[in-house]
Amino acid sequence: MNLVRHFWVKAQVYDRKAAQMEMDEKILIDPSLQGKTREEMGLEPFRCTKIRSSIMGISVFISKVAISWVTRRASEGKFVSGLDYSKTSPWNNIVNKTMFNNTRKGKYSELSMRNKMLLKIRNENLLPKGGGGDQPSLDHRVFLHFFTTKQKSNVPKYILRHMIKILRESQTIQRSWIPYGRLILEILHQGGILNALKEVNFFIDAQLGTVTGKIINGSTLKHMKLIKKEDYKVLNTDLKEPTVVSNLIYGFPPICKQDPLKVRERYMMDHFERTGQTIKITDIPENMYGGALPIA
Amino acid sequence: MSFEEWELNVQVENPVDFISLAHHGCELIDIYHAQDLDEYRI
Repeated sequence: MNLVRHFWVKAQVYDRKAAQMEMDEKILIDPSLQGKTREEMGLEPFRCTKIRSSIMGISVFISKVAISWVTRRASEGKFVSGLDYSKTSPWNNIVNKTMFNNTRKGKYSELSMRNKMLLKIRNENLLPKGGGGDQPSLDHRVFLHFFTTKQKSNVPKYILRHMIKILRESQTIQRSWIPYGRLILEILHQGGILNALKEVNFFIDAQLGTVTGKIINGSTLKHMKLIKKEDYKVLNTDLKEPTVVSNLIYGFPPICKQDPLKVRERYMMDHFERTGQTIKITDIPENMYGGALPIA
Repeated sequence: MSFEEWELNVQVENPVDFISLAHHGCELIDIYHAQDLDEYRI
């Protein structure tokens, strides 16, 4: 999950507001750009809201299309947002009818088992909150209404909006919790970032967040006191934890010519001391891989 | 952010056992099916 942490700490929301700020900055530097299009300013056209980040210099972004890709369903369906806790919205009656079979808002205890469970899944799985109260906003009650009534909702868009909300909380109220770990990792994986990191021989498996489970064997039985200590015997045929170097670090080095000379020298000396192998100057790449990935 | 990267807690996933829920009288598979979430249950 280290990659997910790398992604999260550098993540920024790129929406219409951020795109406009980009243009404003350009105009501030060069007032003659006033009235020009983004393309004329040398900026990429704004296509959709996304979360932008980078991992070791590799640009990564998550959009609703990327989420749609890994959830294997189209980014389409109903989406209602911006209702907050509005008591005057007509949606109140609609969702109360669905959840409580009544126009007034009922109590949690009045929910059916199915709706209670849906609420729990919403809180912990679909739009996870990471703790706190169970009182959903009207936006989220409408989301549940779509589920209960089997009306197709734009789940990828809901997830992106929720991810953005949590990201902003991380940055404003310093919330140290990251949702959708598996989803983000899946996007990084399917987007090719793992392959890109492999190309530059940057990571070892452990740094990629790959965790190998401890081998369950006779020793495990001993530790669990399922066999007597004296009955345990190490066999020649026992499986051993892999000690081979990952092909991800084959060929080294995780440095480039842009690194300060002292850093390169220190790294090369350290590598020689550890492995007995010499890194040639010609083996050091000019730059770290920095291309954009076709994630969305 | 003033906290360190390693202090971030990652919620990997919260799997839902739909078969178990259905067995105990809470059928939700049809709801996920209606949302086209059969293949990927987040």
